[in-house]
Amino acid sequence: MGVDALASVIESERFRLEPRGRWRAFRETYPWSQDSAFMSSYCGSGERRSPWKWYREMIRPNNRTKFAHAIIPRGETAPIGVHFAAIRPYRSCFLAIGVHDRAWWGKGVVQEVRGRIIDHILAHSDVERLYAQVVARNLPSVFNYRKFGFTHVGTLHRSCRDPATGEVHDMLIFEMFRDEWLARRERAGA
Amino acid sequence: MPDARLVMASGIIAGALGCRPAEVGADAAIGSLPQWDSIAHLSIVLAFEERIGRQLTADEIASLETVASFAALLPAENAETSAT
Repeated sequence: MGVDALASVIESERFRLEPRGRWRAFRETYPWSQDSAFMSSYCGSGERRSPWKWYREMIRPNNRTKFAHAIIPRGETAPIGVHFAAIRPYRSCFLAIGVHDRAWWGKGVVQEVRGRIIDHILAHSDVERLYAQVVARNLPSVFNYRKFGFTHVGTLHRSCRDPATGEVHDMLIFEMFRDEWLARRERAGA
Repeated sequence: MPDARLVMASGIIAGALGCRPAEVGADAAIGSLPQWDSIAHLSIVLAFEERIGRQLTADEIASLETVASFAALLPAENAETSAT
């Protein structure tokens, strides 16, 4: 399989999804990590992070097994968000996405970007299982996984506490298998 | 005769989506209506939480996909009272 192809630019209808190295991914996402409300919904913690803490916490792309694609609207240069994918050795792939630019919220960015990236991952790797972990109160994100047909396979109750607000969050685990995804794509195209 | 809770759930969803209840059929689900996007889903869940007077659990949130799954959140007696 051409895993190298995962580190290539992916085009979707409205976006260029440009692969990033770890330093550039860090430089572009660190300012977003200072946005408490955004981070709270992204990962359950809106605490203020030092550069070092964010560097340790973010998925650090190596463009072999871990990828970060900057989401850039066509005709523009600044990313509005980032999609992370981490391929595990057991043919599973962890997915995460953050759309920081609020002007793009509610405009189908996640559906378009994630759909394109999942297609790309499955076409260029032997990944069998896609999975993600979502803050239960991140309702738009839960919506997106359900709409894609991901199955809720478990809940981590009281699994993290947001130091910024003191709130304790449950996390939902969603997963989907390759054949389920391909069957959905086939039905959608039929 | 349609289940009173389904009728009520359709009404709440339609209210959050800003459309007529008739447009939200009993078989409507996430993604079946163009207005039912991720932000609208947030409004729908909050509308149900307001109606039942409590915050939904994580497992309830994860189970919400169809009008029927939303209807299951409504207490039966409440729906009957409102439907009559």
